[in-house]
Amino acid sequence: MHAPRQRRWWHQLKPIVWLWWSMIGVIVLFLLAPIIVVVIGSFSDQAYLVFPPQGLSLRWYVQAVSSRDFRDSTLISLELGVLAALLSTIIGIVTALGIAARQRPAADMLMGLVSAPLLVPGIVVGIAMLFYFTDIGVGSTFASLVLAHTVLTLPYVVRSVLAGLETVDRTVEEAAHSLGASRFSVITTVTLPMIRGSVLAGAVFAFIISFDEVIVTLFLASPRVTTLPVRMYNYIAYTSDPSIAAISTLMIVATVTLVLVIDRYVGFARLF
Amino acid sequence: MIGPISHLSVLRRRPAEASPVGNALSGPFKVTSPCLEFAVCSPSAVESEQGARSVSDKSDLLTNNQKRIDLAFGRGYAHNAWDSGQRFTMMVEESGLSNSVSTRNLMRRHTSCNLGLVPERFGFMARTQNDRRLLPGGFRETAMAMIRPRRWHRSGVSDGPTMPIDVELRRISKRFGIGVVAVEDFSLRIAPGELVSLLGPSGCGKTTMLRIIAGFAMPDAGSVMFGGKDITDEPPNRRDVGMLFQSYALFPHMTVEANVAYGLRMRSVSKLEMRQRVHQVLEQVRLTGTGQRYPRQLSGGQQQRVALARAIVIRPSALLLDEPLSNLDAKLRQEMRGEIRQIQQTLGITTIFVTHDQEEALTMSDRVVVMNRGRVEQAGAPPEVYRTPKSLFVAHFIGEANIFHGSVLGRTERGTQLFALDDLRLEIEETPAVHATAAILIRPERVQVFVPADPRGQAYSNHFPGTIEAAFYLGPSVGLRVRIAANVLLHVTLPSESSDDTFSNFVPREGDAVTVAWQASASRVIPSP
Amino acid sequence: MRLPPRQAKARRTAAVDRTQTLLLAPGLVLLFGVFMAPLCITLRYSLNRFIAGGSQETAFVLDNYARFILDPYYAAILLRTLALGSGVALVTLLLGYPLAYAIARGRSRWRALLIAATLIPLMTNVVVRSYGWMILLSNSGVIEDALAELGLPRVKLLYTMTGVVLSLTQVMMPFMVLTLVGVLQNISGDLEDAACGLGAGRWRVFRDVLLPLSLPGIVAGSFLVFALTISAFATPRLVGGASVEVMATMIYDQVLNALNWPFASATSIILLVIVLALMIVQGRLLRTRADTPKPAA
Repeated sequence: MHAPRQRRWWHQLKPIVWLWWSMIGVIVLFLLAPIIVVVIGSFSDQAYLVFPPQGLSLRWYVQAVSSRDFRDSTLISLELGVLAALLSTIIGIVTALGIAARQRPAADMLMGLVSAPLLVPGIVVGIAMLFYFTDIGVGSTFASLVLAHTVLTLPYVVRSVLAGLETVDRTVEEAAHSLGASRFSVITTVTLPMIRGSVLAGAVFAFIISFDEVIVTLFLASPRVTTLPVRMYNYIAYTSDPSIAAISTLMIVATVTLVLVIDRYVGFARLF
Repeated sequence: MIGPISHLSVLRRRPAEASPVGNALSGPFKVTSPCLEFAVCSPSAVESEQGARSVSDKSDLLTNNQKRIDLAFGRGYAHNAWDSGQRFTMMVEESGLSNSVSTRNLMRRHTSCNLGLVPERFGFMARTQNDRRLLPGGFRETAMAMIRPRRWHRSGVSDGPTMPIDVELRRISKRFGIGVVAVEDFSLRIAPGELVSLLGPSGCGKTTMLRIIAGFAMPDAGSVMFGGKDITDEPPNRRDVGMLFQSYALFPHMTVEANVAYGLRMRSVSKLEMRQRVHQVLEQVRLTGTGQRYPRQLSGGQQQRVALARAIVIRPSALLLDEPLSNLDAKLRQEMRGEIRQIQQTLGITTIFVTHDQEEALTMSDRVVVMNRGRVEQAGAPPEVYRTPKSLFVAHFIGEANIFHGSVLGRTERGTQLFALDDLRLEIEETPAVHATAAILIRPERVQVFVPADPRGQAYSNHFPGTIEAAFYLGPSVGLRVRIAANVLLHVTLPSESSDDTFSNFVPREGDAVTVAWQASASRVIPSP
Repeated sequence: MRLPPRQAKARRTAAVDRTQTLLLAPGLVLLFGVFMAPLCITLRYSLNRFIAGGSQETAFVLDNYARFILDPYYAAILLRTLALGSGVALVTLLLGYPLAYAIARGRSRWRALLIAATLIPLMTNVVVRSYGWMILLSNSGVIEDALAELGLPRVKLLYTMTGVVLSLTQVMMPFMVLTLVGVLQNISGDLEDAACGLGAGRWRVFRDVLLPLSLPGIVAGSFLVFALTISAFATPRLVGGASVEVMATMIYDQVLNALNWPFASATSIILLVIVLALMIVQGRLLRTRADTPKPAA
């Protein structure tokens, strides 16, 4: 028989396929455009940010890192993030355990209640917090920020931990129980270790949310207590030198690294 | 079913050519496959329900509430037997109208003339030699369906009576990524109306092959031909295939009826005809009355039948089934095997069936194609594949087998050959080619088992003493593992109760000493690659 | 003291229930104390009367609400906000659907890249993203230069509604895409193949199979993006500046500049009510679709 007709891969690519993938490419570009601009622009050697940059330099990184204000804010953001994440994780684990122990419809209602901070618009939460803390006399302090951030990050932790709890095989807990462990021991020695991936993911997510939080923090910030995003916001609103871009790039790198870390432990899709 | 049409009479001709009722005409008809196209005029012979009446002028059209158009087909035209509901093109003309008026205009003219057409009870009649049957369908509906002739061929598939076609696969190869060969130089010709199974273990390329035929995968080399036409470059929606997926792939948001009618919708079939055909095919698969249900309300077996109905209602050139029975339980599977085979044979559709279950392949197919690692190991009728496997793989894969490797020693006086298996000397059938080493196949059911004292064992060309190492009760049969030599374990299958009482006194048990015996003709030499 | 079995069990369950309730205590205390209470205060403030100069007098009036709804200036802001929400929801849907489809049906190499491309913006601070858009859209920015190269007139983008729509679309896209990916992944590829094999072209496969089956996802995603967009503050403020006033920016100004807390509270409550209403409507819509006959036994 004669030799078979060969089909190379490019024969199979019709114009419509090219069109489709170009469209996807444009959409992806659109998604990443501002980030790319900021990252590349941070290397500009001009005093104003222009894209594409004419010359490359690291001077803005130097300036950003040596700025006292930015360093202070970063520290405050980190402290805040860690505290809020910690608090939120502890309360979150306990709450998730409480919800998991219940049946529907009570469990659903509780979950809805816990998710409330997600639903209420940030601006509303922001002013509510301001009014509240002013009203009870505490005012805008670091402590009020911690409380606010804890409330805001709690839903994420609870969701993540609950998702993890759902994957726990009940029979393993029952086995531990039948071997003599008290309910409390079962939780601390069996259940929690089994879901430590989800707990970690929730905690890291809470940290990221807190670190990036802008709107509520804007209302609760004071000259002494300014987080990094708030300082950046004020900076952008009133000045415009590329040191912001440098800081932004550093933030992006830090966040992306953290994300890769959680992805190692627990696939991201589960959180949504 | 309407039998062969014997004569055609056009009831009224176009103005230019007048002719009385009942004459066969030789034009202006065009016979184009797959449909017959002819010009038929509005009836001059009209019958009402009360009985046959012939009318010679138009006034009766205005007064009768029910009209039937009488048509029959002329000699000299190629035609096939007609199904009820079969499609054909019809251009209806009235005298006094020009030739080029569109059917749409005609329709409007008719309806606005208040001819009193009652579409629902309008029917077409085809007069055959001796009887006449009503082709269901209203005049209006059917004419409406034909008003869009261009849309018929939009998707490239025509709908209508089909002659079964042959499918040919020429040297198809496909690779995935680097070094993963899915299909290698696959060639096969499937005769019209044949049911061929692609049988093999997972990963042998059978599903890939099916997807290539359906058009969901492009081969790297080779071509797919339907009825002699190369369709390798056609997208799946332009090939005329009906596919049944392993997961059934029923549209969950559509009713059963909508699911089955989907292919017809794509072929712009008229609503009325759609309804009839869907109804008919649902009857064929024994699902009448489920039309309005949703797939999730049906059982697995019912869903599968809906999927089958959806594939066959479009009267495809080829029917492709991707492991359709693997999700059903054993009993249902057996039932469906028979049903699918029956439907396929009634419809005469060329069918390709993918399975990993060799029992399925053997029971259903006209031919079995055993595949391994992308290549065809053997293609042949089920008995051929079972009795004379052409390779070790086929011998192992199909049925239970005793396969022994040894050397051929030479001829005997009895017309057989001597085969050395360890210390044993077996007599095997004569083979034309003589190789020093060979593999032989002995099917377990060809081996007889006797008590050592029984003299009947001596009558066989091969008989050896052995010990039963294991015995399994399988219901209709008993499986034994008999050790006849240090390295030779024979699989034997015996009927658990034989019709001639041969074994009535013999109950095989583990540890028993027995004599196993088989004729030389019971062993087959497996050709070496 | 050994109790009879039934009572012992009852005691045990009672103890268990107590601990279970205790477990929920910290979370609930936090939620009610630091979340519900502030919201209640906001509600309370919304009914007060504003005293020029920055304080309020305790009252029970609906003046603030009336002012927002009836004053044409604020009505315009409301409409603009809602229009912004709808516009962004629409554009994210149109752009996000193909991307979500590519992710759902893509091969693993591309999928990972596309998912990363979708998640990275989500993980980036919204201030950073808005800043990036400010640069892109500015008068000397890339986009305007590109337009000029193509011969099109220079369109002012920064501090305009168009710019805000563009930037908000990018900010909200990941939410739409992720919602759609979830739904599209549940639609088996076999269904598309089946429709195609039956003769449907690409468009019909989309219309007859993908669209109806992904409709719940489209609804959920659109509502989500709409709700998030009408609540957005940072992006409209940074990219829109003073020329684009939406509800969130207006509330901010009222609280921190005009110090009219009652009015700001009323507007916030209105915004909250809109978002809650959206949720309820969405819940209803999605539930009626799910109310289909149960499978046969």
